[in-house]
Amino acid sequence: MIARILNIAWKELLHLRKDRVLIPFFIIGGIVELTLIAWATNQPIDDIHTTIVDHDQSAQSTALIDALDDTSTLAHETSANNAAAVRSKMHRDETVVGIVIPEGYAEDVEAGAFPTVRLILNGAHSVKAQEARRAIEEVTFEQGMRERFNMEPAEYAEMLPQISVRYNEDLERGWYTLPAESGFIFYLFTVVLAALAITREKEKGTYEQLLVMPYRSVEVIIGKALAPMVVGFALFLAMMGLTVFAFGVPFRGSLPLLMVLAIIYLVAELGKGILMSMLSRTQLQAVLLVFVLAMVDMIFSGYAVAVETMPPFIRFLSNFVAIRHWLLIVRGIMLKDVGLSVLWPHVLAIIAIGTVILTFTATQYRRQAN
Amino acid sequence: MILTHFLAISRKELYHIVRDPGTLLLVTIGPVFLMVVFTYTLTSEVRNAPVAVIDQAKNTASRDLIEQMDTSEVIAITDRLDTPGEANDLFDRNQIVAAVIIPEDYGTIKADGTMSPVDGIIDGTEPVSAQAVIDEISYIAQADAEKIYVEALGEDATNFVRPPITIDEEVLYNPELDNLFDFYPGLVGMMLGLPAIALAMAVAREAEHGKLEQLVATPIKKRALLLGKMAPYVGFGMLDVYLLLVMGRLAYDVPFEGSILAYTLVAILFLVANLGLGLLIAVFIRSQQVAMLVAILVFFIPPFFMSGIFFPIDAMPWIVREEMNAFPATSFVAISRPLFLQGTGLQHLWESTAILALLAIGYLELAVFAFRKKVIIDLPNPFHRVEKAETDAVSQRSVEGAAQ
Amino acid sequence: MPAETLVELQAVGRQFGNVAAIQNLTIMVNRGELFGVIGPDGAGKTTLMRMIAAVLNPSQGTITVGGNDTVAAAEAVKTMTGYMPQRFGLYADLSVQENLAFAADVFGITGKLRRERMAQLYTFSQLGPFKARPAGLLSGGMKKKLGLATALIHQPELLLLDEPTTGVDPLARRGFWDLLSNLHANGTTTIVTTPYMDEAERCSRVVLLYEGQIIACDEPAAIKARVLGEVVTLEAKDMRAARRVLEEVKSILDLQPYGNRLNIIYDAEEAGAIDHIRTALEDANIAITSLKSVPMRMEEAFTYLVNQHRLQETV
Ligand SMILES: Nc1ncnc2c1ncn2[C@@H]1O[C@H](COP(=O)(O)OP(=O)(O)OP(=O)(O)O)[C@@H](O)[C@H]1O
Ligand SMILES: [Mg+2]
Repeated sequence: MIARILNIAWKELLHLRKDRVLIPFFIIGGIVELTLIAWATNQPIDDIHTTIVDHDQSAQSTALIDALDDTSTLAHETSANNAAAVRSKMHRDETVVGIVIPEGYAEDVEAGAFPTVRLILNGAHSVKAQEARRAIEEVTFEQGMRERFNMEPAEYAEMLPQISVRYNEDLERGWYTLPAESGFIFYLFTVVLAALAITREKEKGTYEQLLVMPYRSVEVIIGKALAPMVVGFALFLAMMGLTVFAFGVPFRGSLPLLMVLAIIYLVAELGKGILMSMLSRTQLQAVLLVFVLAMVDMIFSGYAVAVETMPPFIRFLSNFVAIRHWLLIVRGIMLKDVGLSVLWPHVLAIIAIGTVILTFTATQYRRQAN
Repeated sequence: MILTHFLAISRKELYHIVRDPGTLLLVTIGPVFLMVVFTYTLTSEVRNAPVAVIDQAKNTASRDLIEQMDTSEVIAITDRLDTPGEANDLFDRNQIVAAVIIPEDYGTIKADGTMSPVDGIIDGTEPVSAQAVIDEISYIAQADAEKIYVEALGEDATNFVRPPITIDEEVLYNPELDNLFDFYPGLVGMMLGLPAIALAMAVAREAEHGKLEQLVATPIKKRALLLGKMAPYVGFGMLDVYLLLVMGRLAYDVPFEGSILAYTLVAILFLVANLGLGLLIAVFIRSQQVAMLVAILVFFIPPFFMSGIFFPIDAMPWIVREEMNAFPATSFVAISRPLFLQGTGLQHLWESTAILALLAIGYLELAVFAFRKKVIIDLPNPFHRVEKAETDAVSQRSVEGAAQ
Repeated sequence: MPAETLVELQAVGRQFGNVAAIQNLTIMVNRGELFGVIGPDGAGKTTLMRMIAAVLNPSQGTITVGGNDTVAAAEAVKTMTGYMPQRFGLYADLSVQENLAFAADVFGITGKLRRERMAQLYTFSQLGPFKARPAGLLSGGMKKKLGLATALIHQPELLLLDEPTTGVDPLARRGFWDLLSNLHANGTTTIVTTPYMDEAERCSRVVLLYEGQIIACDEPAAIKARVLGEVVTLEAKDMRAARRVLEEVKSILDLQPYGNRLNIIYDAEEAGAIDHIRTALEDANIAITSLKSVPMRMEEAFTYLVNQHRLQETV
C-alpha cells in the first residue's frame, strides 16, 4: 500500500516540477504579497492635510498651533478664514481636518475658563480622521495642562488610566497580518495544487483509467495529496522565515510544535482540495472553485480582524472553519508562546473537521469509481 | 463596416457570456459576493469584545464603574477575577482581549487631590480591535473619574478632571466615522477587476481553443474586434456598479451623495481603462490559466495595497505614487470617494478624471497596436509544457505498479 | 483560353526556430483549379495554408494572391479568401445559424444578399434542418460542412481548406468531396490539403509535400505516369524473408510494405519481371499466398517518389 501511494505521489511530483506557471506564481506572488503587506501596514498615517483657522491670532493660539505642528500626524495650512471655508474645502476634497480656534481663546485661557476649539472632520476619510482626532485630543490636552496648570505630561501621567499592551506591545499591524498571510498563502497553495491533481487527469482523459485501477480510494487521495503537501510545506517554512527574519515578527514559541501542527492542518485542508477537483471538470473550474471557497473561509478566519470581535453568529460559524483554528495556532505559538495545553481544543477541532471532509471525499471517490 | 464588425463581435461575445454559467456568474454576482467577503473581513466593527474585570476595591465606586462598562457596546464583561494573575491563562486562550484592574482605593480622593486610576491590560495581537478597546476603556474610566470628582467636590471639581481645552467636534459625511464608508467607494473599483479578469480569460480562451485563427484570417478590423469583445463587459461592469451602489445603500447604509451622471461617466472611463488593460494583458498571453494569474496580480494586489483604498498613499514616495497612476484603480479611488460620499463635483476632481480618460484611451490603443492579426507561433516558451511522452511513460509505470 | 494565375509562391520558406517547415517552394495556382496539397503529418501543409491565408508571414520568398502580397497587403488577401483552418474554428456555443450570420457580418454581407446566400448555403451543405443546433453538438462531418459554408459566405475568389476531411467517416468524406467537385465545376478556385492519397485523385492538380519540400507538382495522372514501373502486390507466409530476397532483385524499383502486404514496384521496361519475382521467391523456398498485378495508385506513386527523393538526399 505504501509503495502504491508513493507511486502516485511520485507521478504528481513530476507533474508539479513541470508546472512553469502555478508554482512560480505562488512563490513569487507569496513573497510579493508578504512584502507588500509588511510595507503597507508599516506606513504611518502621517501628514494628514489639516486646515487651521485662527480667529484669535494670539500668543496662546500660536502656541497651540505650534504644538499641533510638532506631531508628525498633521500637516497644516492656514489659508481658510472661517469654518464655512473649511467645509467647502472639504467638499472639494482638499482637506481632511479643520481646526477653528475661536476669538477669545487667549482670554479664556488666561481667565481659567475652558476654551473651546472646533474640530471639523471629513468622515469620508474616516481612517485618517480617527488618527487625526486621536492626535489632536492628545495635543490639546497636553497644551491645556501646560497653559492651565503648567504641568508637563510626565507629571500627571500617573493620574491617567494605566493601559499596558501585551504580545504586540507597539500595536504593529504587521505582527497580526503577516503570520496570517503566511498561513493563508500556505492554505491556498496546497488546496489549489490538490484541486489540480484530479482535474488534470480529467482533462487529459486519464481519470477513468485511474478510477478503474485497483487502487483504494484512500491510496489515491493520500497519494495525490502527498506532493502538494511537500511543496506546500516548503513554501510555508520559507514564508515563516521571511516573516520572522526579514519583517521582524517575533517567534516566541516552539517551532517543532508549529511544524507538527502544520502537517495536521495540511492533511485536513487537502481533502477539501481533492474534493473540489472531483467536483469540477477542468483545471480552471477547480481553481476558481478554490478561490471562491477561500474567500468564504477568509470571512471566518480572522484574517485581518479578530474573530472575537465579530457578531456572535459569525463567531459561532467560525468554529467550523479549519483555517480559523489554524491562524489562532500560528499566532498563539508565534506571539503568545503558548503550547498544546492551551491549543488542544483547536487541534482537536482541526482533526474533527479534517476527518469529516476526508471521509466525504473518500465516499465521493468511491461513488465516482462505481 | 467597422460598426457592423463591432456589433457582430459584441453580439457573439454576449452569447458566450450568457451561455457560460461560470463567466456569467463572474461578471454578475461575482463582484457582489466578493464585496460581502471584503467588507466582512476587513472592516468588522468591534462589538462586545470580551473583557475580564478584577475588582480589588469592591466598593460602590467600583461597582458603578463596572456598570458603566457593562453598558458599553464595544466591550462586554465576560469574566470577574480576583487576581490579575488569573487573567494570564484567559489571554493565552483568547478568551479575553482585555483585563481591567480596579485598584483597592478606587473612588477615594487622596490628600494631594489625586485618585488611583484603573489599570488595563490589552491583548495587542490584533492591533485594530485592540486600539478600539483601549479607546473605549480609557474613555469610560475618564468619564467615571470625572463623575467621582464632581460627586465628592461639587462643580469645582471640574477644574481637575475636565480636559482643559474642550473640543467641539463636527464630523461631515460620516458622523460615526465608520471605516466601511471610507473603504466602500474604493472597493467598488476593486470589485470591477472581476469583469477585467473575465475578459482577459475570454480572449485567452478564444486563442487556446483555436478560434482566433479563423477570425484573424477574415478582413475584420482589429479595433472592432477588440472593442467589440470589450463592449459586453463594460455593460456587465456597469450593471455591477449599480448593483454595488444599491447594496451599499441597503445593506451597509453607505450614502451616495454625488451625481449619478458624473459617477456613471467616471465608472465607464474606469471600466474601459481596466478592460483595456485586461485586453493588453490578453494580447500577450494565450493561456487561460496564465491570464487569470496575471490578471489577479494586476487587478487585485496593487489596488489593494497601493491605490489608497485601505492604506493612505500620501506618505508613499512620489515615484511609487506616480507609478500607481498607471493602475486605473488609483484614480478611480481618488475620484469616487469624494464623489460618492461628499458629493464633490467632477470639476474639482478633473485631474484624476483626466488621468483616467488618458488611461482608457492609452490602454485600448496599446492593445490595438500590439494585437497582430496573425496566428500565434508557440515556439519554445517558458510557459509551454512539453511533457507528453514523459508523463505517458509514468502513467504506464503506475499501471504496472498497480497490477503487481 | 490561357490560364490566369491566382496564387503565386516564389521561393517561399518558413522556419520555426531551427525547424524548417517549408523550404524553397515555388508554385502557381490558376483560377478555377481544385488544387491539392498532399503530404504526411508534419509535411508543412498547415504552415503553407496559413501563409497563403496571410495569417503567417513567410521567412523567405513572396506569396501573392490575385496580385496582392500576403505580407504587404494582408487585409486585401483576407478579403478575397475563405479560410477553413485544420482545427474547428467556429464557436461551439453558437448555433449553426448564429455562426453563419456572424461570418456574414464579418464579410459585410447584409440585407437581401445575406438572406439569399444563407438559404443557398443551407441547401448546398444540407445543414438546413440543424439551423438552431449549437455548432458544438454537430457530428464531425457536419462541423466540416458548416466550416465550408462559413468560408463560402462571401463567395471568395480563393477557398483554402486545411485537412477538411481528417477525422471524418468515409461516407461523410465522400460527401464532402462531392461538394468540392460541385464548387470546382462552378469555377471556384480551391486549395485543399489532405493526408489521404486517394483524395488527391479528385484534384485537378496536386503538389506532393514531404518535410517542407516539393516532391512533385502536377496533374494526378501525370504524377503517376512519372513512375516508370508497375505494381504487383504480394502476400506471403514469411514476409520478412520475402523482403530480404526481393531487395536483391535488380528490376525492382521500390518495396512498399502495407500492413501484411508488400507492394512491389518493378521496372515496366523489363520483360517478364513478375515471373522474375516469382522465381526468386520460389528459389528461396518462400511460400507465396498471393502475387498479382494491381493498378498504380497515388499512394504507391507518392511513396515511390519520396523514396527516390530520400535516396538522392543521402547521395
Ligand atoms: N507554430 C509552430 N511553432 C513551432 N513549430 C511549428 C509550428 N507550426 C508548425 N511547426 C512545425 O513545422 C512542421 C510542419 O508543421 P505543419 O503543421 O505545417 O504540418 P502539417 O503538414 O500541417 O501536419 P499535420 O498533418 O499534422 O497537420 C512540423 O515539424 C511542426 O512541428
Ligand atoms: Mg496541419
